[in-house]
Amino acid sequence: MMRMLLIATLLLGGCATTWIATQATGTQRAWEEGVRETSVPLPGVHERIAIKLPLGIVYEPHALGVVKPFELQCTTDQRAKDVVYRSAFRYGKRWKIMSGIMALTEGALAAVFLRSRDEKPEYWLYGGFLAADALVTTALFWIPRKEIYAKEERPVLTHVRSDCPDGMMLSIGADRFPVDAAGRIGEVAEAALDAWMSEPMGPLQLEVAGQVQRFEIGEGEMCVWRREHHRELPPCYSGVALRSVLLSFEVPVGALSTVAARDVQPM
Amino acid sequence: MFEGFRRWALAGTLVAACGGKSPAPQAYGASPATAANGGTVEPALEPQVASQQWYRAQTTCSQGPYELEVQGSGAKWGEEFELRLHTPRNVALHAVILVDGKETSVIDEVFSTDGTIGHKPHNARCVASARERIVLGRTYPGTGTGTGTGTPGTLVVPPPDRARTTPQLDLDTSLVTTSFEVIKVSLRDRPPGTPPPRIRVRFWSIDPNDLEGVLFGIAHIEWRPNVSEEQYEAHLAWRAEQARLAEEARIERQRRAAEDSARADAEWRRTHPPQVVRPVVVKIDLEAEREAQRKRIEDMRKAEEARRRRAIAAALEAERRARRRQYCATHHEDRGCWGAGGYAVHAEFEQHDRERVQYCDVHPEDARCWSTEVRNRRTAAWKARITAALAPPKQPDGPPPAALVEDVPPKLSANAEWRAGYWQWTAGTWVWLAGMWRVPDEDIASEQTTTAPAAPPPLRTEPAPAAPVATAVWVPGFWQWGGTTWVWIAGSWQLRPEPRVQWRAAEWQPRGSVHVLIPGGWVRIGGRR
Repeated sequence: MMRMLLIATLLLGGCATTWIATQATGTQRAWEEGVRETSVPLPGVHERIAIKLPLGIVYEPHALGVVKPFELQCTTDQRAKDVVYRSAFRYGKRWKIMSGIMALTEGALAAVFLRSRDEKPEYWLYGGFLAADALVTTALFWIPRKEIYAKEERPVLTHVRSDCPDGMMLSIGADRFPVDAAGRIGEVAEAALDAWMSEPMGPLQLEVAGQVQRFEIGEGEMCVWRREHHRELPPCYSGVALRSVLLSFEVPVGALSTVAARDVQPM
Repeated sequence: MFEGFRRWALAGTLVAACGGKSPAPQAYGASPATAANGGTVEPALEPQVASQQWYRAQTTCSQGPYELEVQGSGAKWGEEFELRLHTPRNVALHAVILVDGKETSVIDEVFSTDGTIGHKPHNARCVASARERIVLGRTYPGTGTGTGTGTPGTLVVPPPDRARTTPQLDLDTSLVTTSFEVIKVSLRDRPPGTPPPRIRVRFWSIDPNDLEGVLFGIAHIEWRPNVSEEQYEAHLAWRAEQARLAEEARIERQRRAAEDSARADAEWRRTHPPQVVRPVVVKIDLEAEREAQRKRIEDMRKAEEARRRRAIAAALEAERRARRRQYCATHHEDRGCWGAGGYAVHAEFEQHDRERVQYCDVHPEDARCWSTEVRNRRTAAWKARITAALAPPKQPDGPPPAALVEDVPPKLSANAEWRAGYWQWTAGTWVWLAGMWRVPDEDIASEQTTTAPAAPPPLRTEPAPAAPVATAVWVPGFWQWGGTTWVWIAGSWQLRPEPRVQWRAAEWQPRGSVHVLIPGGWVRIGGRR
């Protein structure tokens, strides 16, 4: 019997204690009810494509030991801010019902513990804790209902697509290779990239939506590439744990989020 | 008596066919036939090789297309034609059999030495590696050459108007012990009077195969009886007669069974005369029937009552809502109606919702404004692009064009290997990849290269074309001794086989009374390879 009560005590945790914890951690929203929220997009959207150049070898997931062709990984997203309007009640009807029930339950449990014939010290402890919590909960029961009305600006990140857009080109030195939707550059370009990683001649850069950016690849990154692709260790080993090099392009809104007419799929 | 004897003869024939001994099958004279050694054989059709010829390719590395033609015999009992392969390594083949010009069988596989399929072709010495191909990735003119071969390894797009050579096969008379069938066509039951078929077997590969030691065989197999024609035809007639007799026996058995059944039925009816059928009295419980009727009426009444109550409840709810709306419309401060902040805040939220709609109307490109349907449609379109990109590349519809005629420049070293030019299937089209010498590093190290009786002429001044890729290294041209005259080998762009190496240009060095070619090669920076 007492064991069951102990479990109940542990499960309850103390209503007032939980309330104090939410106040302390700034998560008072947990007590809100009748919440209404609406967001209004703010102008100033930033469309961005991030391209990851993996330095390591990637294996086919379902074929043991089969190396996947080299793939650039593209992710397009939009960043913006919303104005979020929020109205809610705190300590409303739901709070009253809950805190009332909790105060009575905790009081009853405390009474059982404190009036137990066993007189174990821990029963005094549990009983005391529950009695104190029940008292504070009773006080909280009487907190008047509060109306919350808030307005805040909230950053929003919306994922757009994961394929590489049309017209993306990888320049290895003076030569340009097209990148397909899956981020693949083809066997010849792979060989050129591999040679470039051994002895860079000219810049390694990417063209997207009319913009060009250079991959910042230093000795460490090249060393990782060679270590992964050619099992080179000394003297190349650099200790760099890099797995990829990242490029990010800010493009006009809609440049990459609009579907080309030829790509439209009938639904 | 005669019927019983016939059954014994049939049973004996079956036992003999299963490997047993027939008691006296010759009783009917027609079948089984008497073999030459006096024993009996079951007349049957057996495949017999009418002709088989083996061919080998004239060139070690080739894509084909090869074509073998064989005239059918119009064999009475049917014939087959097989393309067979003897290969010491994996070979890719796309083979087609045409009967009187009509395609009847197709196969496209990579065959291993034992005929199993689904491997990778072993053709490394015939195809350019990715590193070799990279320098060929851009079309550029050769810089002139004494032999007119063009810069070795130059990619030519589109194919130039040059002489072409149809790949040829030479007849091979060696004894082929191991081979397997690649593809076959079987011609049986051709209508009488049909002229003998003309069979053409065409085969090729997308990439060149390494055909050293590979033999292609065309086998013509005829089905012939293992006894004389007359005996076999008599056997067929006998079998037809057997079948007819068996059918007659079956019908007779059925007739007798029907008669027996009818007789037994009549006997049963005689011994079991029909009995007087007593009328079945069905008692109808009128009381129970009335009770059921009452219950049905009661259920209907209850259902009607429930429906009426629901209608009243709905009307009351509508009335309550109307009153609530009316009340809320006049009590803007009631939080129960309007939520936190009352009507003022509610109106403000509605205004914000309108603002959102207005924004999205003029910013359809903003992903925040996309409905689930719009988002799904766009996502499907972008995913379809990835699927299309990952789809296997388009395969050619037919064989590559005939190979271009190449003048092979003089061999550079004792163990140099000529990688012949071939048609490369790239981006949905055939492009010609010119041949080139592959000089082993060991030959360069051991100076197992060309010797000439005198020093070469001065080097030509050769302007290098634009580099195909920035990482390519310009390998300058040099003079090669062709045995009687000096031949200028044009320079070309090459890729480093590994980092930290540089190209050491070809040179001729005097060795006593002769000059030895030290071909160009990759040397480690700071030391010779």
